[in-house]
Amino acid sequence: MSLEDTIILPGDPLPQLTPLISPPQEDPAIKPRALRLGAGLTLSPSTSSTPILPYRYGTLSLTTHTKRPTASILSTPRHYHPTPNDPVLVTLLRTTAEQFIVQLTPYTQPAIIPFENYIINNAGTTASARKSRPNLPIGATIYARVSVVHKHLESIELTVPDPTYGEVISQKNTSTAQKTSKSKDQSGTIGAASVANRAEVTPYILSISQVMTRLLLAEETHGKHLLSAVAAKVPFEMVVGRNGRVWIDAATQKEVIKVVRCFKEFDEAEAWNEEDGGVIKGREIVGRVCGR
Amino acid sequence: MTSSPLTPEISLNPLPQSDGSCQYTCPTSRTTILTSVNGPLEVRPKDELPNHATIEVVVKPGIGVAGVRETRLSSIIHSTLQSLILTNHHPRTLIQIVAQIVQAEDHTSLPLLLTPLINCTILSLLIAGIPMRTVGWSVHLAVLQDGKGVKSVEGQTFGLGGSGGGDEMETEESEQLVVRNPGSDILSRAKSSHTLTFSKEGEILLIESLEYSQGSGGESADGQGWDISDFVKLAEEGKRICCEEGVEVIRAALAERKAF
Amino acid sequence: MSTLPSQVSSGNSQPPPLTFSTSLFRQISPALYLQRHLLHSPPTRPNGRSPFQCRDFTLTTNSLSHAHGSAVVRAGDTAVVCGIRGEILTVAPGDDPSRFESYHSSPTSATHACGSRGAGGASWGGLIVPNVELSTGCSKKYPLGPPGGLAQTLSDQLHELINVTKLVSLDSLRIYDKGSDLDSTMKIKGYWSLYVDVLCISLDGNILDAAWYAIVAALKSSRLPLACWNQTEERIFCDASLNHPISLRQSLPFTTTFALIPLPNPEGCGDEAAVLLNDPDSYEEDEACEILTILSTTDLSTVQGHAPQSPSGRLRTRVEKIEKKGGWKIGISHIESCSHLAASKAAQYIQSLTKEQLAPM
Repeated sequence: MSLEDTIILPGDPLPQLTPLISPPQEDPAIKPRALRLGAGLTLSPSTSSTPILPYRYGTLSLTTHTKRPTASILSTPRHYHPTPNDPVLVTLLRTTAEQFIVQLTPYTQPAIIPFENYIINNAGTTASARKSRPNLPIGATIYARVSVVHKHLESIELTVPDPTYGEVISQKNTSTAQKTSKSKDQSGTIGAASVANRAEVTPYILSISQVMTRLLLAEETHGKHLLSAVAAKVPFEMVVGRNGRVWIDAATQKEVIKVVRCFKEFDEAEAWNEEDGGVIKGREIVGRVCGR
Repeated sequence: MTSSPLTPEISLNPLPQSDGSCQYTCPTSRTTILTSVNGPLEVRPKDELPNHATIEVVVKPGIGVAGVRETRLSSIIHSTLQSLILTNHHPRTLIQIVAQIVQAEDHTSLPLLLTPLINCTILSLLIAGIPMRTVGWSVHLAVLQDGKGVKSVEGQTFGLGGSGGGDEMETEESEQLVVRNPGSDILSRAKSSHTLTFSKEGEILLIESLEYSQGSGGESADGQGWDISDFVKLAEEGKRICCEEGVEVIRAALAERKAF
Repeated sequence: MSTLPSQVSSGNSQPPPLTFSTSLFRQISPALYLQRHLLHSPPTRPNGRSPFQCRDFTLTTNSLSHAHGSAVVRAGDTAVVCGIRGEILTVAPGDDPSRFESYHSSPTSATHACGSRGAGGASWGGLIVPNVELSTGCSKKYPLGPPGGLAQTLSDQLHELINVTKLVSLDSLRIYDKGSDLDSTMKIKGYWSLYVDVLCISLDGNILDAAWYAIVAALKSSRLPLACWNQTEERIFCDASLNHPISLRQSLPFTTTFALIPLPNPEGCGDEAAVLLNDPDSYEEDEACEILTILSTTDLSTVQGHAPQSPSGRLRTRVEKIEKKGGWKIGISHIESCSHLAASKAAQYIQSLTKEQLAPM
């Protein structure tokens, strides 16, 4: 797609978006759908040609087939900038009377998860949320979603909207623990029964670059090749947070380390810059780490 | 990337720990600048602005300790960036820009340093993902009264004429010669020096134009300077360089980085 | 302050639901206050001036008795004192005199590069050393302490202006050995080095113009003692009873500063309007997004020949420096029209300077 190849600079006009902003008026039955502006785009009334102004460099990503068309600028800054609806992996720092205080990244201020946002068993009200709140240990890893990011608010608010989110606990009872990029659907249920020998294996939390995160989460990238290459050798579980954290678990500690090394080496080699997007390089790394 | 003799050498993200960094070497004067951008960071309460991000620019000299000249350079860069960065996106934060002069022919010369400093800073801001209204590019033009002696000097370094990758050597009506991004040897013979910065849309972001002729001063300096109509012509040329070639350089440099 | 309350009330077409006193409005919403004034027709600034009108200024020269030359300039509430003090710099036999004489720093000499970055701007590479001090209490914004960014930037700008304009004839700073028959460079036994100290007593915007005007006036009025080389004593002696002026250029260059104030467009979207203000005061400078400074000379004969009062009459002008910082709204056409305004301002400066010179000292 040529759309994704051109680099958009800040202030570039975006003629691609014009049909989405002002749809043809011939058919009044078609209601204009509101365009959602994702990361890197802002409204600027002063530029008359297009009211939508890109403010970061990157490539334009346009999702039109969903209910709400979304446009955003894909860029890979070194640090994570929270945007609403990002799935993230956070660490519990402390619990107060009203909320969990969690760490999103080491370089940002602590984020919060209010108890009423922590919906595990459909407890809706604040009072019941406070009563039924899970008793999480400090240092627990929580899979959550960014809900409110506002520049004028001090802290970022996260939410745990349904049981697919929550504290990340291993599910080794599911024998086919092979994961793809849709890892969030299969992992991270709270209170899953711990299997035997649980204490012997400690899951690993790996920090990866922003490009790598996007690679693992996106549906149609080369990250898929790497995931299936690793999974062919070692069955593993993983949860990917947009904030550059990956939770990895496998049957034995040795296997955890193997999987971690595969991803880490792929990331450090910046293998996605290769001609083929790192497919061969990925296989090579997996072969070296996990044995042929 | 096409490597014409006028394309600056740009290395993106040479510093692994900063949010965005860039090393820029001017192709002709060999001035090398290294900049690092960090932000948005926590701001000192003294500098906190309720609705805007605070921009801090620190220019570190290549030799010696920072003095009056560095303070002036950073104040010029600061005011230029103020109009480029969308500071209202990150209120009550700090965007910190540190520029280190790595190599320069003359560490005190404002015109020789300003253009590389601005270009390098803009590139590292882009890399760091700082919200920007638009991008700009800076060019340094020196006007020489007689091109005779210089032509030979220039001919050694670049080809003549504006076609292809050659250096710009326009001959104005009064036989004045314009040299783009001159080195200090050419600048010392220049009549005037113009540092022009234009945004991608052709808005003037910065002008630092000054008379640069040598002389013993006093009455011999009478009648120096230039007519405003000459400046207008020069500014049009600067605009073309910045808006067309400069923006192409930025695009080419960024296109090498894959984004997903 | 010459605030006119009547202008504010008439600025709104609709009566505001909540009314403030003018001074309160001025304090709490400076941007809006300024915009309301400038959206008037004709546009009037809060200080009662029209956009292109500069403040009246007064000049007094040689009021400081201990300095070799001095000037006090007052433009509105900005007051600046400039003092010139000459000191003799002896040339040692091995020294290369050309090192002192370069108006632009010589790029090859590494020692020069090191020397001219002294902390206070004192350099032995330049014979004329400007320094700016913002006196304590000159403005609310600059508290006590070491020279801040503004003072340092100003010092550097003034140093650059001296270099760019080549205002002083270096010949008048040389001290020759009159008796000997050596060639001219060998005869130079010393130099006058001029310390140009600018003290800002009160700061109400546009200090660069005032400081530069004070420097030009002070240099023009200064009288150095007559110094000459005594061959028998091998020293430089000064004769206090005789003095010689510092010879300056014939066409004196002056700076003119403009500030651009953004205005909301009444039609809503589209390009935003803006107004250029000549000689901004500090209240206007705080709101300005863009500052334009033009250094230019005006042909004296034209000034005297034509009606000098009419600013519309286009004076012959040569621009020596343009500096534009911040913002993006000033176009090339603005710069052209501003250069003509700068020319008429320079003509005013020259007139007042000649008047001051003619007055008995």
